[in-house]
Amino acid sequence: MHQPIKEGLEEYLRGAGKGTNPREFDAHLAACQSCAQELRLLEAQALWLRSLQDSPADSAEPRPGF
Amino acid sequence: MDHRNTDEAALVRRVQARDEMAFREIVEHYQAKVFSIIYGILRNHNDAEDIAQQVFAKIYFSIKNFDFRSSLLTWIYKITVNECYDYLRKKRVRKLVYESDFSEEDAQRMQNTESAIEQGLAVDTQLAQRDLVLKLLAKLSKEDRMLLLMKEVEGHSVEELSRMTGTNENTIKVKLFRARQKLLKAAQRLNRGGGQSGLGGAQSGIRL
Repeated sequence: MHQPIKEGLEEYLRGAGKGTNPREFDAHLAACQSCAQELRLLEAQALWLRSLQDSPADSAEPRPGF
Repeated sequence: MDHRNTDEAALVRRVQARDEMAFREIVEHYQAKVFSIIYGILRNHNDAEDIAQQVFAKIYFSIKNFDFRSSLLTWIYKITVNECYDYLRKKRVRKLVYESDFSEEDAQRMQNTESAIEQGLAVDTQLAQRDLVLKLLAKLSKEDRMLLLMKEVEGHSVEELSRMTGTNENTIKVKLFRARQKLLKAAQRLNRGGGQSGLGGAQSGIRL
């Protein structure tokens, strides 16, 4: 992955950069297929890491008296 | 940020001097947080309560070594996550399943992870995929794992992580980037081991 994408990666994955990425970031992404591919993988990775936030069942509260 | 001159640091010093009331304050202040971190990883109330007890015991006996280089929360977070992974490792060893072994079934589940999240598939499917994510995270160093969990699961920003760990923002970014790459590589190894899935290969169109 090249420097312009590395530098903006965390902001981008956080969603803060959507539509407001630095010009260099967008320009590099449009021109570099390997960065675009790796970014797509890292976006998906962030999504499944965030799946650990979800609580599909039960609650995350300790029982009274814990 | 200087972690030595805060109210929290004063509380820690009292605990280091074996003030039981001060330790009780720490337990009351952090117990919900600790429980929620453990529950987020293990998804089991009884286990979470047992591990939480162990975490606070460890905090009590190790706090003399707390050196104020990070925030207390970061230090507690690290102990909590490590305790969960020790527990998972012991549990796996008991079942004679080793961390390095990914089954083909694992690979298949991994293949479907993103779509499962997006489409809100059955709870047990999501739980199985969570297990897989945890298994991959087990491949990382404790520090890498902690940073990724704090960033993506706890939702802390780079700036917050920098403050909490006493490390500058650029270093945090570099460490996160390396951790993400290691995790990708672990998933790609899983893909190769899993045979047909082609996981992680952009040309295959399969997304992680």
